[in-house]
Amino acid sequence: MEELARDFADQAHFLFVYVREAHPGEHYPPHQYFEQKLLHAKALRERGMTRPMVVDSLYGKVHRRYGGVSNMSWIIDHTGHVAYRASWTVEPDIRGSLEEILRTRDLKRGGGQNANYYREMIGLRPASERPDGGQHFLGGKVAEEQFRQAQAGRQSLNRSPLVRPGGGAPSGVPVP
Amino acid sequence: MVQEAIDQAAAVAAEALEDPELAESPEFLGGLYNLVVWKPKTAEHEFFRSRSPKVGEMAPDFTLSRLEGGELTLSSLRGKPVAIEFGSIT
Repeated sequence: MEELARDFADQAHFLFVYVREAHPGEHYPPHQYFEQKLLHAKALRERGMTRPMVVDSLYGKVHRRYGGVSNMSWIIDHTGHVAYRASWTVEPDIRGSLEEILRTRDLKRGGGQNANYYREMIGLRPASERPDGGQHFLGGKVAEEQFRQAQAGRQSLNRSPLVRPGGGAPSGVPVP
Repeated sequence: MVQEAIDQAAAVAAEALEDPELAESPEFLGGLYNLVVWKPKTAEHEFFRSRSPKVGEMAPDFTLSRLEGGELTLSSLRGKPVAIEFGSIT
């Protein structure tokens, strides 16, 4: 996505919305404070994210409104309408869609005899691949073990040992 | 069960951008928003597919804090397409 943002820097805006940790672990625990989100987002910046970044509220008010999945991507057209939505970020797909959205805009501006049509598609992606192609378990060994257990169907990952039921800061969570 | 969770999550999400008090529910789709690292695929995908804005609809506007300071409002970017990626470090 970073390369795409560079290639289309003059034609489109790019925005990264930092949301909850998808695979929290001992290195990046589940968020309990907004400041934790800022710290984690800064860590993402240091790992090479150059796009403009905004940080969602602690409980994800924008994330939920847009569907709440972990690595989704959207393209909003120049008039503020949704032009593309996908539950996973796939760079070549977004590149092609962005090109088409720009071409569509230009065709409409040209005033030709064209009509809209609606379409949807289901895509397929490698199950274990991150959108940025990076290391999968930056959260740490806890995240990796939980993921493997869930894959094996032995345990729901709706409960993390890193946060105690009923609140309260668990041990090992840095308090900003 | 799954449908119930989706309905509840949708009700909270619909209010999220208009009323920050109501939006700040720690629960989402039958679990805790910040605890969940793995959700039932059907509920998560169905919520996205059926309850998030459709292509052709106005994108819900939002204002969030920029990482480097200040705020950014989606609608201020009109005039060019906006490619938005949602994600985290893990």
